[in-house]
Amino acid sequence: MPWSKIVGGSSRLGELLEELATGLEQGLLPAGIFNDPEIFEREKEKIFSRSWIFLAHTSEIPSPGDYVLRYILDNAFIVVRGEDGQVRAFLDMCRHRGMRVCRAEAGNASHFRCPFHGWTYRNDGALVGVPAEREAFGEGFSKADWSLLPIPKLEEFDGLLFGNLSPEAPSLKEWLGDASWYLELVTKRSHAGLEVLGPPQRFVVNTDWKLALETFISDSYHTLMTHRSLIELGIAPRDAKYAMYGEQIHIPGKGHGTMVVGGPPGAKLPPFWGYPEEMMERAKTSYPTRTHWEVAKETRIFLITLFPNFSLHNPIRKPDHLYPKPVPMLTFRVWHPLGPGRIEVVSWGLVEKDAPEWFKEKALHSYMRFFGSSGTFEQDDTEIWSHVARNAGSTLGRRVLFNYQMGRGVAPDPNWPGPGVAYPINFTDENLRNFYRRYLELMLD
Amino acid sequence: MTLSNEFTTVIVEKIRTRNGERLRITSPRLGYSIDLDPLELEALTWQTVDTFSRLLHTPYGPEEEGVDVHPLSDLVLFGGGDA
Repeated sequence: MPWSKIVGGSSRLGELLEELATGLEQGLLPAGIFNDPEIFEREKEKIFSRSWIFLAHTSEIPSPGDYVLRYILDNAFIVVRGEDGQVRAFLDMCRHRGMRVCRAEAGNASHFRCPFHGWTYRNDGALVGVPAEREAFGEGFSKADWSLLPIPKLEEFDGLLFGNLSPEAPSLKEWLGDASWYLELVTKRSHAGLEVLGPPQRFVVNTDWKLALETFISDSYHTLMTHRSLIELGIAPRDAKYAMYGEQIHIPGKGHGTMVVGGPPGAKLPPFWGYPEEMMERAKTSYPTRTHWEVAKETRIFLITLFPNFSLHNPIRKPDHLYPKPVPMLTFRVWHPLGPGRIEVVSWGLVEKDAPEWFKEKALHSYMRFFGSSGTFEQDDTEIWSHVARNAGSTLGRRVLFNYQMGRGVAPDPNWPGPGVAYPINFTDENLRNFYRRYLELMLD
Repeated sequence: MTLSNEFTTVIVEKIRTRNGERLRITSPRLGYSIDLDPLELEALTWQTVDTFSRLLHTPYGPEEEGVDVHPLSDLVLFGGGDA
């Protein structure tokens, strides 16, 4: 049976998915999946309309009435803490005629008043005010029937708020599976938890969301070349293969992947990412298990990507060439798809709430120096991603098969103490092959 | 002091009466103003959001109750004769 019959749409969509399905286990992926309008339409339906998507961190909305606007595909959601302290998310769309009731990206409000006809909603979603209600709608009108529409699913993991457009979606806990063990390396590093370092930066890049996340789930191999200038400047470790010395772990069947990187042999790097010693000591009691702490003690660079489009990067870095000691930084990012070959990067900097003030300042410097719109690593990466996406969408280029064969044949590490399937070297495409298995499963569903 | 969010702007100021002081809250957009004494302000401290939801039942200020609304056709001359 032709693949186009299986997936619907045109024969071109069927051909691309067929090439992906037949080539994946050989490490061959068709370039066309990275910049194609039909692939993107199917991703909207099969991936983003039923996956858990990161919306916000609870520290962005600490007080009653605090809200941020966040997006899943082209849907805007008001993520708001009610007067009762509960966090909710509502489609930013007046039930009367569909105007947005909240057009600021962040703020504090007890009520949202629609600028079209004045329908007014409390921040728990209830419709409370309708101008000329009796004259316009009569006695039988029930405001209770016209509340703001809540997001189908909203759940939290250690301060991370995720939303899902599908009411039938599995729980966030089930979705994360064993990836939660690795998330806890960051979320439970202190009893106080994390806080955002200001609002997220947002910038548009002409690339595909999958190309962006590849860097944060598996591709440590690119640091050799893409970020070579930073190695030469002494900002990244001197050994150009510095990102190779770690374990790459994937969660089978889920698509999630993580990289736990130690340090080049002989490199004098402080333990525990270089966080202040007091934070390393406190983590002994905040981590759920001793194994978490032992892994964290040996970690200098840590990344995790949760299927489909949330990534976390937590590397040791020097904030600048003058500061004598390495300082770790932490960023969360969402690779928000805007269209074929076009994304918006939403990038947060974060730090432990109970970190010393001097350290918070250095961590912010470190983050802004390397990531976000002013970041050197970010600029290195986005420049490359945009050219790859352009080629992937070209008439000849889209037919090219990319190589995802790195690390094939390498046996998993039987001694790794954490969950998932771990590989003993970080120069491998294992996490990507796992990611695209899950991607393909959903795209063909 | 001016307080704003995306929905409105209000001006809050302490005013002196001959023998005391009040808090004046003004809505420059809607043209309403209220002077609250400390007791009224204190009473606000135990209100819940429901109080304000009730106040916002009419989101742009009070609406006249019991207005005798007539259709425009009532004003049209009857008789159907030639004008």
